[in-house]
Amino acid sequence: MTRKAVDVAVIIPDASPVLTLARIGRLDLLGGFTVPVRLVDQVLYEITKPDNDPQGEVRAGLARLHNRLEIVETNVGVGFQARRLRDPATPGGNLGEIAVDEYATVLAHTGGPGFVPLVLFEDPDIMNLRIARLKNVHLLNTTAWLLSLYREGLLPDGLDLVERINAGRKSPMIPFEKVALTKKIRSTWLRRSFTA
Amino acid sequence: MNEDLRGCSVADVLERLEKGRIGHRAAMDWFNLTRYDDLVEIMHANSRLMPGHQPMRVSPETRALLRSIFAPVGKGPSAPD
Repeated sequence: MTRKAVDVAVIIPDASPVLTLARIGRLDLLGGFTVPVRLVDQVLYEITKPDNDPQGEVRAGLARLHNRLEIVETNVGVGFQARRLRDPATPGGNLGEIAVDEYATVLAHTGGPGFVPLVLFEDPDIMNLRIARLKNVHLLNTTAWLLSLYREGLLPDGLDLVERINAGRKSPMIPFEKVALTKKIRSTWLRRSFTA
Repeated sequence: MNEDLRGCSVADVLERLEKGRIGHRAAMDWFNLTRYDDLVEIMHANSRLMPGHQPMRVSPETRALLRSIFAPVGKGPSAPD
């Protein structure tokens, strides 16, 4: 079988992972990824709007990631900002989900066979969006990500961070993962797992 | 039937509980505990798991993926600009 190059990008389709990391003061962890971390413009708006970020700390934390974070421009996001210019009271509603769907549609049509979207999420509704059904998609929620990093020795305080996350919640965040189906793609990371 | 716990040390009781040789009720009686959560806490503090409990399984694929795309970062938030 011919081996194909694998292209991985981290996609954050809902505000929760960013807000969770911000609550424990560890937005810097997103800078640990050596592949692009992508956020659609409408989700960025929801994360940084005054209701969710009254002190501007999340916005500042994301700004410190510089070009490690890619903001994906969508027609939904641009259109919403245009409407807000006319009427600042325009509600955002569920436009974040629609913007993510728009981006997922683009990925579905343009993503090559070796593209693996690693979707980092918390909102269970994401499972109903197209982004969660993309070919080769790999799903992780925040606690599964942190626990995996801990077990790989990449984040020594991973368990403490999960405890801090759960301390601020009504119920603990159950780690969730859905592994990419890469049987036909002899990806480098899958090969490494066989030799590890 | 539970084993007789007379003369057992704390370590003995925890080991027997982890291996399922005694039930949690017997262990709680031995420790004189009223809350199950306290028993779980004692087990975890001694690096033991309750019988039947499993640590979260992380697939080799996820671990390998993260190994290949994540570099260790320092503790605490990054320094402000």
